[in-house]
Amino acid sequence: MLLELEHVTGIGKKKFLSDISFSLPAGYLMGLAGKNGAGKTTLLECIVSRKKQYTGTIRLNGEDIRADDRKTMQQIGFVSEENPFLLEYTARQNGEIFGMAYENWDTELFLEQMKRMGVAAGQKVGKLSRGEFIKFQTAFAMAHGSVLYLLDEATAGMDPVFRREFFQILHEIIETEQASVLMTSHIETEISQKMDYVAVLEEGKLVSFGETGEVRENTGF
Amino acid sequence: MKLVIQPQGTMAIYEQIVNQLKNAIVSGELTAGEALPSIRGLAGELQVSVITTKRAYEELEKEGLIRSAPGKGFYVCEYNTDYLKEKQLMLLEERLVELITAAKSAGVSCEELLEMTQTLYEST
Repeated sequence: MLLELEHVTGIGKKKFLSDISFSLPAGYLMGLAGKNGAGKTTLLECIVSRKKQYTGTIRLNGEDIRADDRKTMQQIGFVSEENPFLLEYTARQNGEIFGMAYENWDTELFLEQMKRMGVAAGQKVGKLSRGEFIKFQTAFAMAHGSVLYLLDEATAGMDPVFRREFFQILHEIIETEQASVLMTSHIETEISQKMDYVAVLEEGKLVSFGETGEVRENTGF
Repeated sequence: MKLVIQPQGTMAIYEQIVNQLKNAIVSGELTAGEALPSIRGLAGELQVSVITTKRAYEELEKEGLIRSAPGKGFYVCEYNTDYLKEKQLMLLEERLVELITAAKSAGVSCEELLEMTQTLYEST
């Protein structure tokens, strides 16, 4: 099992989340659905944040992610419009600078993926379009050996052609069954057609989790 | 061959995949022994979830139309072309019996029926 959440309940600022449990195997796409304010971003932040903001257990490939913060960080790629990359530096430079935090950083892979995705490595990050910024972050996550990709509203605003390309990339990521993608989304068709698993959050609680087909049947989602 | 999925169609996506592949196999468009795309490859191509294509392949496998070779992928079954032909012939026989019964109750003789059949067969 790639990702396991057991009774994750937020504390402090995150106390909004309550008793979230689900398991995601490697090699799949999982959608995190729910209205604005339901807790989707909060949940992703719990997984990546190094502050102890929850009770319960989160495991990555069987290991509690709190046991070795540094090790966990190496394997999780967090893609979000809010990520503070250096806007005045080029994509390549950002890769070099932030890549240093990762043991398995592979510059060649980063540049290869950027090229494949059609994003200019020599472009300043601040000048990238929203979609390009997302692709850049995905390439970055791939280049440091992520096994869990967390995408926060990554596809919002993507046109159909761009989205199609982006999903090809996601499919390549999960193809070898070593990694999975957990992505928040508002787009119903995206979730029902493209996600293998879906979790629905409502006011910080998990109201359903399962294979997309089953969840649809049970909740009329 | 090209699979066309109607995401908003009334039939579930996996069912659409099953039907299209089934038709392709029955019609011979996909030949016995031919390799099918991998579950993940097909999911990527059709832009649907892996679980959807997995389900479609499992169904086809259950129906004996395709088989999985561990580590290699899915292949159209060898024997199936004859098996399907047999199935089709059986269905045909059933319909012929219905037809003959109707013909008899209409007072149509065997010769007349055969004549009719010949004419129509040649003109359809």
